Amino acid sequence: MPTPSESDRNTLPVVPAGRPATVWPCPPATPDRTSAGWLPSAVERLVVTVSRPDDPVLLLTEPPLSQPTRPAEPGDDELGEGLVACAGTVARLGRRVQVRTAPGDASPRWTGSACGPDLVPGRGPDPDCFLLVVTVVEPTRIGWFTRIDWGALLAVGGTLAVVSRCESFGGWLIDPTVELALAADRSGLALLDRIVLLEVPLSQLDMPATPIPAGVVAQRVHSDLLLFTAVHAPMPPAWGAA
Amino acid sequence: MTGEVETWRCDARWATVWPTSRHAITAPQTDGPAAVSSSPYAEAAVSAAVAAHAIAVYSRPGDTVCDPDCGPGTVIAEAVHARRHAIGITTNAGRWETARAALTLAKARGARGDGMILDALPTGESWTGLGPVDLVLTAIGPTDSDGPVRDRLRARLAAYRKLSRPGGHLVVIAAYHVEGGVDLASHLAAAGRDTGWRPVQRAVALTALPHVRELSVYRPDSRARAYPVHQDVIIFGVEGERARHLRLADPPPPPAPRTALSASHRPAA
Repeated sequence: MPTPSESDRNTLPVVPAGRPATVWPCPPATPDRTSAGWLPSAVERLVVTVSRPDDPVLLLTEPPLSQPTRPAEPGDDELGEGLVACAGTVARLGRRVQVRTAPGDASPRWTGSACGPDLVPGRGPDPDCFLLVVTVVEPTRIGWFTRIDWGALLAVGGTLAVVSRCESFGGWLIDPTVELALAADRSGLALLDRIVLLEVPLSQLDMPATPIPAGVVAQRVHSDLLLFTAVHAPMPPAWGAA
Repeated sequence: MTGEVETWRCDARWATVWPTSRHAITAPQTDGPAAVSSSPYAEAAVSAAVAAHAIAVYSRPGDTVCDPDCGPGTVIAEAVHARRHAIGITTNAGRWETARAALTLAKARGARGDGMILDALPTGESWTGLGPVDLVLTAIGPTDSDGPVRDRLRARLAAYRKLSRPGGHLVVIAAYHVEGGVDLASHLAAAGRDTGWRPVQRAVALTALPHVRELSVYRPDSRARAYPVHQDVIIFGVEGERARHLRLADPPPPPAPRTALSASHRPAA
């Protein structure tokens, strides 16, 4: 990496206690333990951060493609499958977790009632509202997201957490943030935070910086975690003390 | 670039997360008492580490780098350190003095690029223009001006269109800030598209080591907003055919005399 000038020897900012940082690193593997992976680690940190034991948590996966434009390939819906695999982690943290698949053709706006099996049964009655809803959205496939009444899924003070990412296709940035925020806004939700989820250990990023050739984009090594909450809920100040 | 077939590809030698936290990434973490840090609200400026990384990736030695809102001159100083030519522009007299001092200091420390600080964009009455700019690199914060965020971003990004040569880059470092329903960087990407820029990629510049507390001892305040330890980066491209142009002579190879003084000057605008 380039060496900045000597004028940048400032003190390192320290994240105040009680506040999460805007970047959540992927835990590195250790000699006696492989890394749990960035998505399970992020979901675990998310659950601990915005919910309490016994809170109802919904893991909502994308609907399957009704008419695939191409044959399924390995890696398709990898994020969705990864989210389903997080159910055990959420249950281990003492939350009442449900895993459902969003309908692909919800009309009128889907509110979550009678919407698929609870994959972690035996944790009490099926709640209508959740303190935390976690979902994953592909940047090029957000239509289903806009048809869900997310506000109706959330209990008072609840959080909608959306894992998505920006991509570069053909030299153009595909950033779903504005569309997702508009859809959430129609459900009465506002963006509270945008968290960077590192998909690789920090140590892997420590490479020398050299000029990037024309027609080349950098490898994507992070995803985004968008946190929405109800507009009428008291919003903390943007930079105030916790 | 018009007339050329672009085959964009991803390369693992570059990553969307920049290791620009000011401490070595591999340094051991201390778990001492939390220091009181300054409010990140004011961090519209770009740090030296972030500027150095952007310059290293999106320009080459001998290229011209311009910061059209150069603030204290960090981008300019890092550019001349990296053997680029640098042009800073600021209409604030106090900032002009600060930026020029930063450039002078960089030259005194042996920086081999040349630079200048202007107090306004050149006009038809100016004695010279900027010449071709390969990289426009600047920082945008949440408190730059009043008015709807998207409108003021459009105005700034539209003005930058005059600066970059075809085939050049605009790299904007955006403070982490949520306003108007989305974060500032998302506003930036949309405003750039509105004003004729081509958003190419979104990246993240670390500004601090993202220290992670053990979950077993983590007692978060669930209503607290996240504390910024990064800045967002939007990389824009310029449409159009690559222009043939004259460029300034490349900086001399090392070693350079450490007594060289700044070539900055203050032309009439």
